[in-house]
Amino acid sequence: MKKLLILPLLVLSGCAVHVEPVTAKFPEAPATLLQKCEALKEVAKDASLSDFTKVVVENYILYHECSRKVEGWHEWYTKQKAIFEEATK
Amino acid sequence: MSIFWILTFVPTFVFNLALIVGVVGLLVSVVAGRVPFISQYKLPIQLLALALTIVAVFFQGALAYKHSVALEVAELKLKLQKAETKSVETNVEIVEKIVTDTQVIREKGKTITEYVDREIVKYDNFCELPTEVINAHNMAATLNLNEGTPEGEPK
Repeated sequence: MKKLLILPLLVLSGCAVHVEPVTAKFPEAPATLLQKCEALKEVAKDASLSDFTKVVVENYILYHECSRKVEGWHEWYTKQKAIFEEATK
Repeated sequence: MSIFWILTFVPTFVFNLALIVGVVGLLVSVVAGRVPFISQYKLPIQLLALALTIVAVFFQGALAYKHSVALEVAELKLKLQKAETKSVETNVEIVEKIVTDTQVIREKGKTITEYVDREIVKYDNFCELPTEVINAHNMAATLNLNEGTPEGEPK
């Protein structure tokens, strides 16, 4: 009869039930951020000083646009990470 | 091995009933030992009741665990759903800021280009650009990473 006392241990195996998997979906990055930075422009061989300056200005503008996108990526990563950590803690 | 398949088609009251019957059976088996004619069935009743009790308690545990897991899963799903909504809102917020900033950058660029057209153009006839200046600019702009650092005249 005393040996039968071991039997209730089987009850513990009731914990070995199937657990439904719940996974967090990786967030989609905005299309604006996925756009590649434009290539810098070249100056024509016979360019005048004003043409040359304009190309330089255009290239600076392209840099600033690209820089803003990189900042956007940093912001996106930091915020999405915070949201994910808050949801899974 | 999963036992959820049993829990999905057997109603909960069956496990409750089995537990009650098992416990009652164990009590009956104790009393049965004192009744002369029934005492011979004491051991079978005891074994059956014990087996029924164990199985019933096992499934009670499984049901309780399933219930608690279901609650946790529902809570987690809700949290993730909220996170997904917040994530989409954040994306919209970031994109709006980038679009606005890009417009500002382009506007400023346009203003500077207008300034060049208005002021720098006056010096076009006085200052001829050396080819080396244009070459240096273009090399820096294209920056062919597969080639080494240019020395002297570019090709």
